[in-house]
Amino acid sequence: MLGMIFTELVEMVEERFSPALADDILAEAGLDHGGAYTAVGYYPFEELQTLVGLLAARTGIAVPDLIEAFGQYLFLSFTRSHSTLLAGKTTLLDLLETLDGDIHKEVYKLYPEARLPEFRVISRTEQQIELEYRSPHNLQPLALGLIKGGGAWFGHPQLTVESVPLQGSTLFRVQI
Amino acid sequence: MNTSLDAEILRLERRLERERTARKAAELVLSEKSAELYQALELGRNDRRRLELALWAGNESIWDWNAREQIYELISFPPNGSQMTRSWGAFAQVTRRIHPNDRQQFKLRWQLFLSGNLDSFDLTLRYQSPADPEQLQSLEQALAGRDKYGSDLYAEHSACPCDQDATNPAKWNWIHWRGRIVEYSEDNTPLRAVGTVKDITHYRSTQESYLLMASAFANSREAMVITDQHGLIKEANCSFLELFNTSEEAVIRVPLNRYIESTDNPRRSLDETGSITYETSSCGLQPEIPLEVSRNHFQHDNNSQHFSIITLRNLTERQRADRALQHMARHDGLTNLPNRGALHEELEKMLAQAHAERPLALMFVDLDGFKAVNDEFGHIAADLLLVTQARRMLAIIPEQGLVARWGGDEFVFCWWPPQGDLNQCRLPNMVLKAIREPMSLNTASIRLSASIGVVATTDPGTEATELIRQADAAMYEAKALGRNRIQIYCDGMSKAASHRASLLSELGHAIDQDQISFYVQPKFDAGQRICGGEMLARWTSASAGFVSPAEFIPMIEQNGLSAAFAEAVMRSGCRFASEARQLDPDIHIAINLSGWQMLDNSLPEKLLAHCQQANVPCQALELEITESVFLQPDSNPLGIMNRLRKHGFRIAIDDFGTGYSSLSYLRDMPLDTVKIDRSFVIDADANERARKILSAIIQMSHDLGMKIVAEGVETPDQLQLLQQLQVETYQGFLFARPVPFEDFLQLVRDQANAASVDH
Repeated sequence: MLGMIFTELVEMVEERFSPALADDILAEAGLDHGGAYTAVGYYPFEELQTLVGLLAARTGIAVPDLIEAFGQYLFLSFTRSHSTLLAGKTTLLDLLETLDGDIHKEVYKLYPEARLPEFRVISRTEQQIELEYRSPHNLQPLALGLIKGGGAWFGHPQLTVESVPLQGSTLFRVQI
Repeated sequence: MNTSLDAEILRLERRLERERTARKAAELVLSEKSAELYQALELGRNDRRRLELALWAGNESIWDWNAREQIYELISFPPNGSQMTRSWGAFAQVTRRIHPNDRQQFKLRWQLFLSGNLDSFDLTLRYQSPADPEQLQSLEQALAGRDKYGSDLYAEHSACPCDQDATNPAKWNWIHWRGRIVEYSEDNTPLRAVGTVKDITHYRSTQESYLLMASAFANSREAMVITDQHGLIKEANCSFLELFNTSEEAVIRVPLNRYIESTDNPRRSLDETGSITYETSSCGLQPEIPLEVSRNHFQHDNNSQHFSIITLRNLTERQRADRALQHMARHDGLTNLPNRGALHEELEKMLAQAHAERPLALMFVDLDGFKAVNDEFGHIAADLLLVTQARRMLAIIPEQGLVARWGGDEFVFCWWPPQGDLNQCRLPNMVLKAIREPMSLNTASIRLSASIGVVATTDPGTEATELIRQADAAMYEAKALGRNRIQIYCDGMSKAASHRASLLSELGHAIDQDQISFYVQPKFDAGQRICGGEMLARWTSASAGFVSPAEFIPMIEQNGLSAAFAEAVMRSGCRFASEARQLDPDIHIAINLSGWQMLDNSLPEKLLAHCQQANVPCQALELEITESVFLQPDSNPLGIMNRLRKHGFRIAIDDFGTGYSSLSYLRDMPLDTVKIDRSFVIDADANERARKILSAIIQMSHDLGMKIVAEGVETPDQLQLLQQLQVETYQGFLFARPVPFEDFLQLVRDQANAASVDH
């Protein structure tokens, strides 16, 4: 898993909770590298599960909620670091439509070893898009958080995201 | 408080440590990434260089056109291997450099390509490169060019300067232009097209040259095949297929020796020179075709196997022509009989086979009167006659025999007579009979005869020329004996013939030099007065002395001397008449005309001219003709005789009573005088019956208004008899012998003087 996911997660914990909590869970996790994450590195997915698990235990917030909140945080972070990807897009739906086609293609150019989820467009109208989400790690809450983060950023107050589990994937129906 | 501070410090230190560790890890990742990137870049660079080299090796340039700018970029790899070059241009500029005949096609294809109607752009066209190809156009210049000419390829601009070279192929390069659209806009409009362009001028000229060679091979009139080193046919042209009446499918990979006879041609010479020519013939064709084979070795390239190119020439025509030429060399063109050369050759062979039990005979045939036919009917008719006679001769030539045309109207036969005795031999008579058969000529029917000399030998050592000479001598003898006969050679004839030959040459000279003299034998009337004279030719040869007219007159007639001699006779006759009539105006002079002259339509005019020149009336001339005139095959002298008489010439029939002496001549011919032959006179003197016949003829002639001249009156008894029969004129030794003209004049003068004294 991309190092930036971990660095962003640590940053979120430091910002939203406290640097001490971040320090604690990193120490408690007992990682080989001691939690010295770099954005350009790759780390096992299990480390993310450990960190989120420890965070949930310390905060009493359910894991999916934490991951969804992280998704929203991550989106905001992307808007700062990869603003070019948003150029020319006026709604969230525009962005979601080009995830697989354009954005992930660019990501792979930088991180050829990244294992990104697939967002296949099932249908698209002015107000709604249906996406089939398929990820090796089944991080539907992360995806949901990212979508919601986008909705906030694009300014869609009426945003609704419906999640329908499918065989081996999830269908997101997003309305703005 | 301190505890919490310490804890905070510891946490911050841990965080610092984490940050440091993370930075190092990041640096490591980045340095690895950097190395990877460098390697990837190197790889990419190498790949690009390789691609460039491939394009350079292929002499191809890359073009990259974008719709937004309406500009293309051209990346070229100069042939000298230096760095690639970049230049830019607008298509409107390109269009102006395309050959005018290819320009429309280019515009159309380009439009179709850009509108998505063509999957790819692929066109070969003629293009004129800029005067200095080294001078590359920059992007700015290209944009300026675009603005000048616009992007509409169909827009008509000022005339393209290249067009003036349209007819000069040297000014144009052949370009192969290929490309594909690589980017489209959302509305499927092409945004970018990329492709290659290649100068294929050399390839094209090679291809043209190859096509030319292939076409030359295919269309050669001579049959050609290419075989591989095993002698199997790889290619065959149309002429070959036609020659063997086969198809391409049937000959490919078939051994050539199935079509032409292989010969034991010297392979060694083939190996040394790479080519060989020999003659052979076809296999499996009916009839077999004679062929000349030219075989050349070649290699497609240095390493490939050997091939042979084989040219076959059909020799049928050439052999036919050779045979025709050979035939022509040995045969007479008119009659198609063997000629003199062939005769000699064949005769030598036949002579070598002659022996005592097997004599070889040779016959020399000369057509009588052929010259007259030639004069009267012309060469074409005379040729026709010769062809007909040749055909007749050919029909009767015995087996193993030969008939050849010696020349002119002379033919030679060689054959093996079944009996040794030539007198028993039937062939000469058969030939004579065949020649005498009548034949049609220009609607007339004519009859010829021949003089034939025959000789035989049993000696194989006899020279061919000698044998021919002997037969020729015998033929001359036959001619001298009155023609229309066969004469067998005997010793002495050759001598006579040689004598005749030298005499003939002298005679020709004598006629040319006017050395033939004319005597006159006076004619007397019943009162024994000179009433005229018959002019008689006399010739004294320098070598042989006096030559009898009986000998030299036939020589004149048989040897083409007649015309000059006849002129001399007519000229002298008129002169004599003119001079004699000055002494006695009633005197006439008789001249003898040859049979052929009576076939000459212009005879009356010729005679008239001589009379006018001598200033003598036609009545002063009596023309003596023999009945042979009427015997000439199908001659019709009647018209000429009538015209002569109309002018006033008198016509006498000479030697009447010899030959056929048909009474019908007396009845039908316009005659003034009948000259009775001396033999008739001599017979009548001794024989009662002959006298009665003579009497009847004279009586009949008188009744028909003709006068009689008796020839050869030698005795008073004869004179008495003739006087009783009322003959008007007498001629003979009893009265006077032929005398030189001066003496004749003297006799006339004396008679005139005596008469004047009497008066």
